[in-house]
Amino acid sequence: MVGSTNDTPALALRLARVEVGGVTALGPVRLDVRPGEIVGVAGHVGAGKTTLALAAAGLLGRAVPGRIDGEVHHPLGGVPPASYVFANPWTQLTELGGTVEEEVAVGPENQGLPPATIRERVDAALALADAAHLAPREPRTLSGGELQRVALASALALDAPLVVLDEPTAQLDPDATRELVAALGALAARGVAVLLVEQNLDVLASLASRVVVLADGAVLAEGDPRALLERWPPLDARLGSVAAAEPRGTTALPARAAGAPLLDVEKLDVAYGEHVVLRELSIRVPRGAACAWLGRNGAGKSTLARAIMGLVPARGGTIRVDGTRLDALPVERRARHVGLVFQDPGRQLFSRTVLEEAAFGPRVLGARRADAERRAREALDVVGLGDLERDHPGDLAPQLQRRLAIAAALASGPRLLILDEPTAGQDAAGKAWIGRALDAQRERGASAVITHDRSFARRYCDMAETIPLTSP
Amino acid sequence: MRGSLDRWNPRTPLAAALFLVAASYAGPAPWSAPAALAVALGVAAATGIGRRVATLVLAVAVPTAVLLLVMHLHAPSPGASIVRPGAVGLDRAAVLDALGVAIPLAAAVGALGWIVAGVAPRRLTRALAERGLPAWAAYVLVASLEAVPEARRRAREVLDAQRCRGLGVGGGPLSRVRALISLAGPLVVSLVTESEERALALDARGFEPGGRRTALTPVPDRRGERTARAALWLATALILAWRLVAAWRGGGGGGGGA
Repeated sequence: MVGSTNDTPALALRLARVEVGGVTALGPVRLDVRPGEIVGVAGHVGAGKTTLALAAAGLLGRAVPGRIDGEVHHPLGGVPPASYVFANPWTQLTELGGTVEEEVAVGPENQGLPPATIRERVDAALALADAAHLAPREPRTLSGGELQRVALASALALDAPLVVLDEPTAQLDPDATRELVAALGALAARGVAVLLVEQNLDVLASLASRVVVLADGAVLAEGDPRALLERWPPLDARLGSVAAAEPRGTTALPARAAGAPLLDVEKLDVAYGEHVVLRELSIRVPRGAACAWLGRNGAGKSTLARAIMGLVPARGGTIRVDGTRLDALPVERRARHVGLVFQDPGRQLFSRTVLEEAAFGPRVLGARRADAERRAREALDVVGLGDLERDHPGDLAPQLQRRLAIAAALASGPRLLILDEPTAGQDAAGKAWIGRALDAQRERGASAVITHDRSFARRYCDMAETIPLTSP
Repeated sequence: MRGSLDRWNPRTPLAAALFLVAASYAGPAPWSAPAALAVALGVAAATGIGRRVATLVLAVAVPTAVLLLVMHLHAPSPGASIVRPGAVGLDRAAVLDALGVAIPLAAAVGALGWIVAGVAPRRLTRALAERGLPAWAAYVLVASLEAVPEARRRAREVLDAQRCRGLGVGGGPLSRVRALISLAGPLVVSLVTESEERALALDARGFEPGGRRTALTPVPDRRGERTARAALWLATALILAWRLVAAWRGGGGGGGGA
C-alpha cells in the first residue's frame, strides 16, 4: 500500500452534482475517508448510494457513463487509487482467470507485478476474504455468496489505499457476513480506508465510525451510526434493517409446519461432476405456507431450486408438487407447477416491456392475449409495478427487475413459487412488496424462499428449513 | 477437454499451425496443401482433439467447395464434362479449382483448429503476454476465442429462463423456429450487456489497454520447445521466401494448393 499519514485522506470527495443518464442522481456531498477509517453509506433504493460509491472509486464518468460536477481526489495515489466490490457478484468476473485463484490474480497481473509478489497478494487476499478453499474452483460454478467473497478477494489483491464496497453482504449468509465484518475490521486496522455502502445497519453500526445517510440523492444525516439510529428510529425502518423488522408472529420460525405437503422432495442427489452438492436431501413445504430455506453459501439451496425446476439433473430421488411427480418432466412442463425466480433476475428477463414480460408465461402456457395481460397486470400490482408496464425491463433498477421476475412467475399461476434470494438489495418497501407476493401465493399453493435475510424470513415466512452443507 | 496439446507452451502449437498455414498456401503445388491437411488432422487425432478439429474443417471447407462448384455449374463441352446433371455440368477444371481453394482452406482451418480446440485461451494469452503482447491484444484474443462458447452459454441461460416460463423448444420445425425467434433478441441484448459489465469489471481491476500484464503462473517453456519453434519459424520464413522468389521469377513452382 502507498505510504501515508492518518491526516491525509485516501478519498476527498467534493461533489456539487452528479448526473447519470441526464438525470441528477446525487446532490451536494462532501466526504473524506482517512486511512484506517470505515465510513458507511446508507439509504433507500434509488437514494444515490451506488452513484456515490462509483464516483468515490473514480469509475463514474470513466467506466460508467455519468457527469460529475465537483472533484474526486485520491491524495494517497495508488494504481489504481481505489478498488471496488460491486453489489452483483455475477457481473464482476473479468473472465481472464479460469480458476478463482487466477481471477483474483487479474488485478496484480494488470499492475505488472512479478509472479512472486502476485502470489503473495493472491494468497493474502483469499485468506482475508475467507475464500482460500475456493482457489482451484471455476468461478462460474460458485454460488452468489461464494462469488462475492471472490470479488472481495479480487479487490483486496489490488492493495489500493481505498476499498469501496457496494452492498457486499447482500448475498452472504450470516456466518459469512460476520467473517466479512471481521475482514473489513482487519483491513482498516492495516491502514486501508473503507467506504461501505450497506443496507444492513447492524453491519454499519458494528463497523463504521461514521455513516452518511442518503435520501433521494441528498445527504439526509451524517454521524455516528448508533447515535443516528437512537436519535431517529424511523430511519431504521425506512432502510429495512434487522432491528426494523418486527416479526409478525414468532421470533423463531418452526422447522416444520403442519399440513399436507405441496412440495415433497425425497432423497434428492445432485452433483456437478465429482462435486456432490445435495446428498439424499428430503424436504417438504406444506400447502398454504411460505417456507424459508436457509443455509450457508454453497450449501446447495439454489441447486435444489434448479433441480426442482429441472435445470440441473438429479442423480436420484423424487420430486412431487401437489401430488404430481416432476422428475421425469421437461423444464417447460414443470413450469405449469413451479415458478422459479433466479438469484440474478436480470438474466431472466427477455421481453420488450414490463407487461410483455409478465404476460410471457401465461401466453406460452396457452392463455389468450387478453387473459394473459389481465393476469400479468394483477401480478404486477401485487409487487407494486403496476405503473411501469410500458417500461423496458432492462431499464429498471435491479431491485425492480427482481420484483418483475416475481410478477412474471406469479402470473403463470404456479402451485409452487420459489424465490432465490429475493431480498438482495431491497429496502424495507421492496421487502414488503415481496411479502405481498408470498401472501398472494399462499392462496393458490405454497412458496419457498431461499434467503440469508433472517429478519425477512421471520416477518414474512411461516417456517424455515436449513439446507445442510454437504461438502465444504 | 483440451487434449494433450495444452501441456505444451502455447507458442509451440501456434508456430506449428502458422507453418502449416504458410505451407498450405505458399508451398509447392499440388502436394503441399493436402500434406498440410493430413498433418493437421493427424496431429489433432493424436492429441485427442481430432473430432472437434474435423468438425471445424468440415464446417468451413465443405460449404466452400460446394459453393464454388455451384458457381461453376454451366454447360460444358461433352468431352470436358465429368458430371452432367441434366442440361448443366461440371468440367475437370471447375472441380480442380474448387479443390484448389477448399483444400488449403481446410488445412489452414485444421491447423488453427489446434489452437481453438486444443489450447486454453487464457494460457495462450499468458504465453503471448510474456513475449510482450499488449493487454488490449491479449483481451481481444481471449474474447475472440471465447466468443462462441460464451454465446452458447448465454443462449443456454436465456433458453433456461424461457423454458422456466413454459416455452417448449422441442417438437416440430415450427416450434423450433418460434423458440429461435424468441431466443435471438434477448441473446443479442444480453451479450451486449455482458460485454459492458465485463468492461466495467476490467476497469475496476486496473486494466490498462496499453499496459503490459504479468502472470501469476508463468507458462513453462522447455528448451526442446524453444528449439522446435525456432526451426518452425525458420521453415515458415523459407517457404514464404521461396514463394516470393518464385513469383518474382514469373510464377515457377506453382504454389497455392492442390
